[in-house]
Amino acid sequence: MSTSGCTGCPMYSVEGLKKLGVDMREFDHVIALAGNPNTGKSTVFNALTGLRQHTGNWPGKTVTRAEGAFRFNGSRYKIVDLPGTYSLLATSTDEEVARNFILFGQPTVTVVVVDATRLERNLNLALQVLEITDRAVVCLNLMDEARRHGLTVDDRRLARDLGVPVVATAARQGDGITDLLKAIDEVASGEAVCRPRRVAIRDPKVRKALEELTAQVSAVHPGLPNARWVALRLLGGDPGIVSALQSGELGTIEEPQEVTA
Amino acid sequence: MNYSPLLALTLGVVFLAAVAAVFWPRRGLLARSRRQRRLTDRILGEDALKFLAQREAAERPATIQSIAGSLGVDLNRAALVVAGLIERNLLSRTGDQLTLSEAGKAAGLHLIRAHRLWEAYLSQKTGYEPAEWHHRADIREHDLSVESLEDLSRDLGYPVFDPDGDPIPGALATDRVKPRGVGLAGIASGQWVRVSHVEDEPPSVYAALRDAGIHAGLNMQVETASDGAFRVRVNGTTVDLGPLEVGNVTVERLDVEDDRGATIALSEVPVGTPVVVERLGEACRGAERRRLLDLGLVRGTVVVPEFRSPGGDPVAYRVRESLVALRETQARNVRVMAQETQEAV
Amino acid sequence: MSSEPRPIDADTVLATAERLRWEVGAGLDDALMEDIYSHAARIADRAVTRDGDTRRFDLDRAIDRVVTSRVWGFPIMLLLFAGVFWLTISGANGPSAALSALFLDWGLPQLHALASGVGAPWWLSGFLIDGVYLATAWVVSVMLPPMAIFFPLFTLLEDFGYLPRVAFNLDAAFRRAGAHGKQSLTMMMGFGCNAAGVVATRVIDSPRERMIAILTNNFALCNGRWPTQILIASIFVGAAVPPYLAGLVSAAAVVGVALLGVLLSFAVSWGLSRTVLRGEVSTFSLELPPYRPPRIFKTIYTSVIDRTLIVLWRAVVFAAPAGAVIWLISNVTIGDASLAAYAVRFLNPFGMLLGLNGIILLAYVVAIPANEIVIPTVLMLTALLGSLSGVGEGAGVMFQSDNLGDTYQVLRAGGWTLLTGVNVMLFSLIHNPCSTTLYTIYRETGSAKWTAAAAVIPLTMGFVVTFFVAQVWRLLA
Repeated sequence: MSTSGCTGCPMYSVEGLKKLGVDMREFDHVIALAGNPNTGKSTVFNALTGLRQHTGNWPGKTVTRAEGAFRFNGSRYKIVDLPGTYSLLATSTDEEVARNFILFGQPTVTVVVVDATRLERNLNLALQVLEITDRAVVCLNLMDEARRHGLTVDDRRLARDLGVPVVATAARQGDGITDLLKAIDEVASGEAVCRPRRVAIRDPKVRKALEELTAQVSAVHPGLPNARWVALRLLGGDPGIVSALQSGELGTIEEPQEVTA
Repeated sequence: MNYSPLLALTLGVVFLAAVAAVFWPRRGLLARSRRQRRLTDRILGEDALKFLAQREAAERPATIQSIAGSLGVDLNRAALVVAGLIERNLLSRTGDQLTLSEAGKAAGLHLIRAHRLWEAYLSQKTGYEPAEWHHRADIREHDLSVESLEDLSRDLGYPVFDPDGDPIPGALATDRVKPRGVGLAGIASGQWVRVSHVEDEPPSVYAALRDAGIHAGLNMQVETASDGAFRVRVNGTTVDLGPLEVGNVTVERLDVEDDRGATIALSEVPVGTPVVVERLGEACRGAERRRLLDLGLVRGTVVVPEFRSPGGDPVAYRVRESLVALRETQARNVRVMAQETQEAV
Repeated sequence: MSSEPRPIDADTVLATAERLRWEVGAGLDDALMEDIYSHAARIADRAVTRDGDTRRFDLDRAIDRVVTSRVWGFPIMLLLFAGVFWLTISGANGPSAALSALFLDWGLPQLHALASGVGAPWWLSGFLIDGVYLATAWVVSVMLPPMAIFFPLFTLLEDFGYLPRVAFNLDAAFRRAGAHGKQSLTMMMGFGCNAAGVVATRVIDSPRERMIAILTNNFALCNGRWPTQILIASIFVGAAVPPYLAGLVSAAAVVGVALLGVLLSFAVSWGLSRTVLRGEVSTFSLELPPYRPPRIFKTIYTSVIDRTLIVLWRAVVFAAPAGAVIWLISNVTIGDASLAAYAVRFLNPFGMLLGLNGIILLAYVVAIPANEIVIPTVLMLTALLGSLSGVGEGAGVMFQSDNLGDTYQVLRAGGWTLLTGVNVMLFSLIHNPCSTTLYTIYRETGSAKWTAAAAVIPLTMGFVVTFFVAQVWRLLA
């Protein structure tokens, strides 16, 4: 595969994806599409793949996971539409499906679709995604609606504050989809480097506990890109993460760092 | 037999009545016989062990009389139960003094753990009312092996407290039995406290405390504490408590004055008035709490009641730029403050 | 970093986590969400500027004020849904007749001609053409046109953002029955097709209320049962009153049955939420999304693909075998009688007790896959077993006459009375869901137990209701 040669290239987890039911033969990259319900996520999915999945003005339409494919800039992409969720704390099946895919499937790029008219609420999910993975693109969708509502969203400022590429789109009209593809491609090829800013924990008791636990998690799995998030979930008693730690499954998502002596 | 509509009608009614008599929830024969079957020797023995372990943790020795009272059986039956436990080397007796052996302690602790885990389960993963938790946990605690208790704990995210603030003894942390804090009765006037535990027995006192809005996790101020009267400020309203109720509340002293207690319920906010969320009430838990948190109802969020439905309930609220309908029962559990107060702080 | 002597492994980490969890205490989730949201608010604050002009926001609010107002909320709702139903019924008549002419009047003889042309034996052409083909064609011609109109209209309302407001308006009533306001929408879908209604319950994210909506969807009189109601009401109920009232009374009877269905679904919701479903988790969340101009063509396209064709495909998959069974039971004979005759003889006493008869019960058994073919099957069996001459198309060939008088004569000859008519209408409303719906319930709930409950609850109720109606009726008559 084309990824093996370059140094900065991220690798998705073939094993993890296979377990999640995604066949990666014939594809170079896998893209996960996350987002709140009713943000036009399915419309973005359709715009990227040319498929016609029904999209309704209802929270929670997409229940089954949809998959599609596209080619861009010589690479073959598989795209997986995750269930629409408000959060990734894995308290419902949908959230667990989305969370597990991003964590264990390690998609090359996770695209977070956010509603430009309801940025605050949607950033909640985006920030949670950025706790788990570095390789993300934020798709600032429904820009047409925001304009109609008299809102201006500064995508460059947003990109700086989030630390990942932000692309403004109006997927219903097809606006900005090419830019989105470009951004995905840049992150996938390692051209664009993401440095997501992480949420500061204010409660001193929690912060201290988290520091202690993060250090221990990193000691067990040194290559973990999201040790703090894992520690946070362990502190919250997340059954999925606890068993992933016990079974050693967490080790499979360690990044191959510059080890191998 | 010849067909006659009247006969058929009568038989039909009788049949329906018979079915109802057997299957009627809670009062039917089936429900009654199930309740009867509960009072087996094994279950009484386990209940006694749990009671003894709780008493030992509280350093209040138990007698056969108190066991009989707790189990709701007569003295003879209680004596038989105790004899059975002594025979199995779970308990020893010197004079009136009953002492649990190591094995007895472990068994008692297992039951306490099971009971509190079930209460946590019932509060988080089911739709039962708080008043039912204790009773249902009393039934279910007897059906769990050590392994399945571990599974239950894992599914709940390894909780350390039950919904009333009782610590759940861990598989390893066996010392976690007693609630943190001191009795409410010992607190002086003017002191701010955080409720760490509300005793859920007897049910009538528990219900009275719930009606007064007192839950584990609540911050409140003791207003008057003299021998005749005990008055606390809860969420901006004063509540008088009787001695039984005071005796069933455990609290931790707060160093600072927490005047955030002066909040009102979101359900009382008139349409069009922006308010700031202070916190979600303690009565809102499990899936419901997480949903409201996901929607952005966290401390500091500005909420505006936008319009009511034709029946007046639910009401549509603007929360972080989206429009969310909440029922009155939900909005009651969202504690808010007027927007100006927030800015002044 | 910790300075522990032994190396840190997974168990150490878990033990630490357990200790820290105890030290941190409850409220971790709250604190975390608070931090995430305040971070999000800071970022959003910097990125978003709002110009002074907020007309559009006001337009949304203005629409909301009207469609949720005390005065206009319900009339607008009634008007819109009456409009949807009217368009569906009036729009579907023509295409239904055309499809029926194509598949039945033209296609059936053609196929028979073809079969005899190639010399197929009578049992093969009977089984395939009169059984499988006829049932499938019947279901398609009855079902397709209304669904192809109803679902896109419904989807347009959905895309515009109106449906969540309906749920908002009606929530108070559903709350009292222990259900969710969104159940009003799944019920409305159920009037089109119960299977689609069950799928639509996905929008209800509270486990208890969703299960209630699934189990009671069957009480919404679906598209496949409307023709039965209308037919029986006009030939029996209408005939029992003076001619100038006939139209009005029979229409009122049909509407009455539909309303009874709505009442029953409230009653059963209430009962379920207080008994077997009491322990299920119950939450409420209802978001009112911004209004969006619907994209008409795209909506029609996707809703035809998504809902209509999928539901239709499943119906066909179930109807074809039903047609085969209907043909077989009427044509396979043991001794001197067909299987159908034995079954009817066996079911007859029970049917009479319910104010029905054996033929009707048998028709409901074999027509579990699709309610559309109940009446044709009843007519065929009545003509066949009553040895009526001059009517019907032969053993195992379902038929329905365009002439109400003929149908009336056939049923009268089969022993039908006004009581039979009324009880058929009641039983058509209150019986187990069709197999397509049951299969959908199984898919959605993943539980055989709840699927069984969805069948047993209405079936038992249907038996009880028809039984008591029959006894009281006979007592008073």
